[in-house]
Amino acid sequence: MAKKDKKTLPPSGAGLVRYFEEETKGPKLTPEQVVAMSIILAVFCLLLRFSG
Amino acid sequence: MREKLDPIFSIIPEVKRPEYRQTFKEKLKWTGIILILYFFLGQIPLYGLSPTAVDQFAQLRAVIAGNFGSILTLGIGPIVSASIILQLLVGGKLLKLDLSRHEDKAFFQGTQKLLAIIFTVFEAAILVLTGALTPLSSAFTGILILQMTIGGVLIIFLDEVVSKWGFGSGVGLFIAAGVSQQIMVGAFNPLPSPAQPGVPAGRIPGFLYLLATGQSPDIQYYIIPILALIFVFLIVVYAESMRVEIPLTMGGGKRWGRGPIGKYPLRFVYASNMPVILTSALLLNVQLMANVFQKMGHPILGEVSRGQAISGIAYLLTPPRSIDILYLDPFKVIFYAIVFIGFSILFAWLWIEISGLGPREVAKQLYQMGLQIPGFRSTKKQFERILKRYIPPLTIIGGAFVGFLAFIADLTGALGGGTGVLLTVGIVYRLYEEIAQEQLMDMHPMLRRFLGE
Repeated sequence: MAKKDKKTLPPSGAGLVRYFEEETKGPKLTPEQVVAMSIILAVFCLLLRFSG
Repeated sequence: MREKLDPIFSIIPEVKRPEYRQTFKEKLKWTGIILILYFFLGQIPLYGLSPTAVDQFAQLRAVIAGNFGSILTLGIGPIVSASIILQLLVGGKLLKLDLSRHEDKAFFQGTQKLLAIIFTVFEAAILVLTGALTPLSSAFTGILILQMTIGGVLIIFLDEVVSKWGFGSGVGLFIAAGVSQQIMVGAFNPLPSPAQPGVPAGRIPGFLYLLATGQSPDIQYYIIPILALIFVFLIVVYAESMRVEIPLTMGGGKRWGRGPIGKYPLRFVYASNMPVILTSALLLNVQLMANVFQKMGHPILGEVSRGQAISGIAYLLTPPRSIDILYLDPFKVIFYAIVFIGFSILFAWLWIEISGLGPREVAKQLYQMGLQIPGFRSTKKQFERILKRYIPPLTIIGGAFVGFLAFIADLTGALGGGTGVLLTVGIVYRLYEEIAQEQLMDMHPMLRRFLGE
């Protein structure tokens, strides 16, 4: 979605999800960590079938 | 309430923003990596799912970018539901937030994510407990919900990486990826189809195979969906580029050079695909409720058999997915068309009102930027008067237009489904625009080389 700041025109149409630039106070993840997390959890899901 | 939520927000992790401006190549890299991960996760089957499970929401699966039977069954459903509900609450003033203030934006962002996580667990539980996803045995109920929750939470973070480090938004990217995959497989899959052994399942190889072996292929199955897809694609691209341009100059009597210095484009499909998404989601909920009522023993919305509504209002509101229905049950088609297009118009209007895209809000923003329409006095009133001439008709006609197009695409069985095709073409077109804009802004030697080669 288009980034907004004071100099840009209002959006010329609607969007599905609204994103803001503002950050919450939560711990920060780098994109690399997100990729690693996805792979680990994916492997976990694949391993479930061998668990029992 | 805000104080209570704050400690929760400070434990939900968030993807970092890039510290410097991302180059075109880096954005491309992250978009690509996330796309590959998305396809990979969509291939991980749910452990403990009964092989007899039938996808009741196959028509909407594309829209929520989920892959039935995989850990991504929920797709972006929870994110979109969370955002829509929150925007409705804020727009309807039930939740008092001033979205021009920093803390309120952060609060919105945090709440949206928390809601998305809650919806993930909730939707996973509903799907398993209502029997839409049948576990092998009741011992697998928990494990199914857990896996879908993991997939749902991962999607939330993947979406965040794309919106901060890549092109466009994750939500759009996943929808477009899922639908494009469906279209490619539907059109070109060379593997034999399970229904007709020996005949390739893809429409194009299947058609050629039947011709080559001297059989007469069923035009309605093999040819019409592809023609419909091309037709819808062309119309949507044309409509997406249709705009009403309002010329603007810097106010204050001084003009920069001669003539207008800029244009404010109002898109013909002003409410975008939102009306179609909201309408589809609403109709999907009718199916879901019909299911729930049937389970309770009071099928007041109609009877459901093998995941398909077969009678009552739920049946009338199932998308007609083939032209046959036009003469088998014309009443259903007409009823569905009226309801679908009607709701599309209603939701277009509603969405513009609540999301701050109405004439008054836009006029206020343009006026505050010190802009002026040449030949008119620079007052807020004047802006509003001119925008009022365009925005409401664009909203209504645009809403009816997308509703009608999605309906026609469904009826002709266009590959990828009506809503899916409509969304995907819009998303890809806007992605193309963003990339083009990126190229203008960042005329990096690297980028020039990349595009030149």
